[in-house]
Formats: sequence, C-alpha cells, structure tokens
Amino acid sequence: MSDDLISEQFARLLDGLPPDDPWPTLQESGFLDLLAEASLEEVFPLALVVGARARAPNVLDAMAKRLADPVPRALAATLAAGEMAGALEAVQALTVDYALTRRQFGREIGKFQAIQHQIAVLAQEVIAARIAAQAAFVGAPAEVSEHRAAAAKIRCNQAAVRGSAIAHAVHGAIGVSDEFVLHHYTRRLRALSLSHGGEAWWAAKLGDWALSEAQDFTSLARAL
Amino acid sequence: MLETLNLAAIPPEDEALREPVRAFLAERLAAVSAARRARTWMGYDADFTKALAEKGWVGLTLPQDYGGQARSPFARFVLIEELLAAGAPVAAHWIAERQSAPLILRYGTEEQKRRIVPAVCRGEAFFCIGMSEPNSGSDLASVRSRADRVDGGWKLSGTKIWTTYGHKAHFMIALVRTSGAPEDRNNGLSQFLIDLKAPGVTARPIRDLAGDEHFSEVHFDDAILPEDALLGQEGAGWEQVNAELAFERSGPERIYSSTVLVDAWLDYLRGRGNLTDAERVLAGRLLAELSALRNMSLSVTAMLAAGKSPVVEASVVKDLGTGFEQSIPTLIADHLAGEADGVVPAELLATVEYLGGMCPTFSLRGGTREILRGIIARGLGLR
Ligand SMILES: Cc1cc2nc3c(=O)[nH]c(=O)nc-3n(C[C@H](O)[C@H](O)[C@H](O)COP(=O)(O)OP(=O)(O)OC[C@H]3O[C@@H](n4cnc5c(N)ncnc54)[C@H](O)[C@@H]3O)c2cc1C
Repeated sequence: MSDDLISEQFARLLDGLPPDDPWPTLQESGFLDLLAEASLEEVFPLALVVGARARAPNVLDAMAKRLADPVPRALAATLAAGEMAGALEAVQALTVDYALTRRQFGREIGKFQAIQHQIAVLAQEVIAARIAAQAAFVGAPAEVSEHRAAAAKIRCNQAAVRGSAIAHAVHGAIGVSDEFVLHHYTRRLRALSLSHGGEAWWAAKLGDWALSEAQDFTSLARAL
Repeated sequence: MLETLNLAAIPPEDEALREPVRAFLAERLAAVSAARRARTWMGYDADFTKALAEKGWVGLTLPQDYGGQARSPFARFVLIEELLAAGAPVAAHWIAERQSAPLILRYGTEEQKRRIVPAVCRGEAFFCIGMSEPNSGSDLASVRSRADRVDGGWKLSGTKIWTTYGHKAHFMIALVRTSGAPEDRNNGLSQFLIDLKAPGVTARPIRDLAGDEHFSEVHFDDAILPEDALLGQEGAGWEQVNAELAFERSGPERIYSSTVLVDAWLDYLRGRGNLTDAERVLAGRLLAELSALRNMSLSVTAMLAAGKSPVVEASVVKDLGTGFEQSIPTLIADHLAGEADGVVPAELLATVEYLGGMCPTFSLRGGTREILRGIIARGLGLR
C-alpha cells in the first residue's frame, strides 16, 4: 500500500473511533504495532494525521510504548514533533479560513495588511516546523537519532509558541471560547511542547554536541 | 499557491563538489580575517572571481553552449553554501551569475547571449541591478528613469540608487519607462542592458555605516544607448523584472550571512572551555534553526530542479532566513558582553560589531520583509 493510502486509512480509523472507548478499535486495527515494522519515514504522515485531529487519543504514545517501555526520550520527542507539525497545519488552515470569513469594518479581516502579515509569519512557522519534524523521521524507530530529535523538538516548540499566539490573535475572543475548536489544538501544542523535553533542555543537549565537535556550523547542520 | 516543502536530499554527484570547493576556499581565505569574511556577498575581489571561474565555478548551472557547466541547482546550492559559510568575497560576479546571465538567456537575443554569458562564466563581465531609484524602493513600478527612441538607439535619463557595485560593474540591467507616465505603473516599462562605459553614465559610490563602499548612485544624463541595448520586449519590463526577482530570491544565500560570526564564536568557546548552560542552549537553538532553514532552502532547490518557479516558497525562506541571520549578532554580542575585559579576541569583536551594524540590511536587499509577506499572503489566498 502506498503511504498516501495508509494515512487515508489511518485518518478514517481515527475519525470513526467510538468516543467513549477508542482503544479496542485501535488495537484491532493493527496500527498500534506499526513502529515495530515501519520506518520513521512511513510513520511521519501518520503523526501529521494525529496532530490534525483536535481530539485524537494519544495514539503515538501508545504506539511507542509497544516498541519500548519506557519510551526512549528521543523517539518520544520525535513523535511529538510530528504531531505538533500536524496540529500547526490544522491551526493555519483554521486561521486562514477564519480571516477569510470574519468581517469587520465592512470587509474580511484577512484583507487587512496587519492580519495578512501575521498569517504569513504563521505559515512560515508551520513550514519550518513540518520540515524540522520530517528531518527527524529517518530510519528505524528504535534507532532514532538524538541530535535530529533535538533539532526537531526545538524548532517545533518555537513554532508552537509563535504560531499559537498568532492564531489566537487573529481569532479574537472566539478563539478562547470552549465551543470553538482552536483551543483544543493550542492546548495540545502546549502539552506536547512540555512533554519529552522542552526547548531549552534539548537545546543544551544539541549545543553540547555542537561545541564538542571540531566542525563548522554549516557542517554540523549537514551532519544532523 | 504555497506548496508544502518536503525534505530533499542533495544527489551524490552534486555533494561531491563540496570537498574541492572547501579545499580551494581553505587555501584562498587562510589569511583573511573573520571581520572581512563577514562581508560575504558584499565583498568584492575580481581576482578571486577569476580564480573561481577558472575552476568552472561561475555559471555552474548555465548551459555549456554559453560557457556554463549545465549542472543542477543542487550543485549550485553546494557551491553557494560553501562560499557563503566561508565568507568568500563573491560580490564581483554574484549578481551576473545569479540573475543577469539567466535573465539574458531567457529574454535576450542570440547576439546578446553570445556576447555576454560566456564572459560572465569566465569571470570577466560583472553586472549590477538597476531597479531602485530615489523615489522608487518597494514601489518598483513607480520608476521614473526614462528611455526615448532616438535615431539608431535610445536616449536614457534618470537616476538609480543603492546599486550594489554600480561603480565597479561593467553592465547594468535597468528597469526604465519607455512609454506613458509613472501613473501607468507596470505598463510601459522595459529593461535595458546597459554598458556602463557609455557616455552620459556616471556612478558614485555611497559609503555605508561600516565605512564600506558597495552600493552606489548611478546617473544617466541623456546617455545614448545602441538599438540592441533593449533586453527582451519593449513594454514587457514588468514581467521580466519579476522573473529577475525570482532568480534573485530563490537561491540559498538568505540564511548564511552571519555564519562567519557563529563559527568565530563557536571556536572561541571551544578554545576557552568551561561552557555555561546558557552558551550550550544558544548554540543548540541556532543549530536547530539553521537546520530547518537549510532543509527549507533545499526543498526550494528541488522545486527549481523540477522546473517549477517557487516564488512564494522562496519568499518564505527569505523572510524567515533573514530574520535568523539578523538575530545572531545581538544574541552572540549579549553572551560576549558577560566576558571579562580583554578576553574576547579583537577579531571576534570586530565581526560582531560589523554584523550588528549591517544586519538590518539583510531584510531590505532583494525586497523588504513587508513585500515578502505580501507575496506569501497572496499565496495563502488572502489577497
Ligand atoms: C545593502 C543593499 C543593497 C542593495 N542593492 C540594490 C541593488 O543592487 N539594486 C537595486 O535596485 N536596489 C538595491 N537595494 C535597494 C533595495 O532593493 C531597497 O532598499 C528595497 O527595495 C526597499 O526600498 P527602500 O529602501 O526605498 O525602502 P521603502 O520602499 O521606502 O520602504 C521603507 C519601509 O516601508 C515599508 N513599505 C513600503 N511599502 C510598503 C507597503 N506597501 N506596505 C507595507 N510596508 C511598506 C518597507 O517594507 C520598509 O519597511 C539595496 C539595498 C540594500 C540595503
């Protein structure tokens, strides 16, 4: 099956889960055992799918625990980065959509340059987070690189802070109402930011490596 | 539309270019100070360009028929990454190679191509960009320089400003009005390939805050240009200048302007030892940011290699990349400020000081942050 088909099937599974007890259905699906067979390249689209669903159960954690318990921090952080990238993509879509429909001063707020520029920055952060996460989804899950995980988690955490702030600013008051979906994403982004090592923790680790290697800055980036 | 940027790898045959380039640069730049190298693509050295051209490294992606090497955009990525990371003085040929020659190949006559492009690849024909004017910066369509038809050619008058190495280049590609009035905006504009030795052309360097003279003011005082100075179609200047800007913006040079400083700082810390956690955290953050930007830039390179025109995506990389380059001098300076007097090497301080002063230009040259965000917003369907 192609990657696209697998992630479509996975998305359908998540969307059809019984809300009260999703786990038996997930277990039957076989997806929870995926990390034992699949490469991280194959898992990346699935992490995005989880992130794009505001109320998905912690599927990635469950997958990781089946591989190793306790889950190595580098793997957990990598999976979190992928999920964060998916959530940020959903946040961007929501925000663009809202800017094109909400009207003030007789026009869509997305017509104001100040709003356009904020959303342009949001889009940049989303792209950076996605590619940073993707760069960590390399090889076998059991052998995930600690330095790649660090770079991914650092960049996704930065994007989560900057991107969530912009999304909330553009949404105005409705963005913090319980009924509106945005806060489910931004809450999850905050939770994932603080899970499996925050930005400073990973940055100290990555910086320690960078300073112990006798390599120039660009070569270090290539070596990640 | 804004496309998703996916990870792209440099093909091995292009990656293979890296070692010879590094070896060449290590030798050529051994005696050049970090503060000087921090000028990177503002540093002008015609001898360096000549030596690079002899290696076949000027015009790497241009067709072999016109003196180039017909290599892929990935090969150019590798070359440029190494040149900029090392802080090589590439200004002499930079513009000619990046945008003028590709533009001439796209819109020029066969005669113009034969006359100019091989000379660019030999490192002998240097170009400058004639877009900005005293009253036309971001609002490029408002240019007032004007060329009128005269017997056997064109008569040009007006002023271009901030023209990088306009006082040293051999040629300029200028956007000027050939019909109508400034109110006609993007209608009635044309591009000219101007030999800067023509009578009536004068160029005066403008000193920058660091004391360098890279940009200049170029006057056209009824300069007479031959018939074949017209580049492309009369009246198609707006479309053509946008193609030129796409060449200008899509390369990887918008993320490496402060790399020389980062390397000088990392070397200083390695020599000093006793690292603090704050230093480790900053080093790690910068590396994570560079890594993401580099992967984004490679993804844009892959789009170029696939024959696409990634205008919006390149604007994303440029805006984010210049923000990164600009953040570095302040962050590193703040760390160095905690060191005891007399401990930090003078060369590192001079590098911080130079970039601290000049880094605001990173997000001006080639189109400001606001212009780029407008392009991205259009790509998102907001405009
Ligand atoms: C080092 C350097 C080298 C350069 N080299 C060249 C060169 O070789 N050739 C050349 O032609 N030019 C060159 N330039 C000029 C450069 O292209 C211009 O500086 C740039 O286009 C901005 O124009 P401006 O400086 O006139 O600023 P302005 O256009 O006057 O802008 C001033 C401020 O207003 C903002 N602004 C303007 N319009 C809008 C708008 N519609 N919405 C929101 N904000 C807006 C800008 O973003 C900016 O923040 C160079 C500049 C530098 C700094």
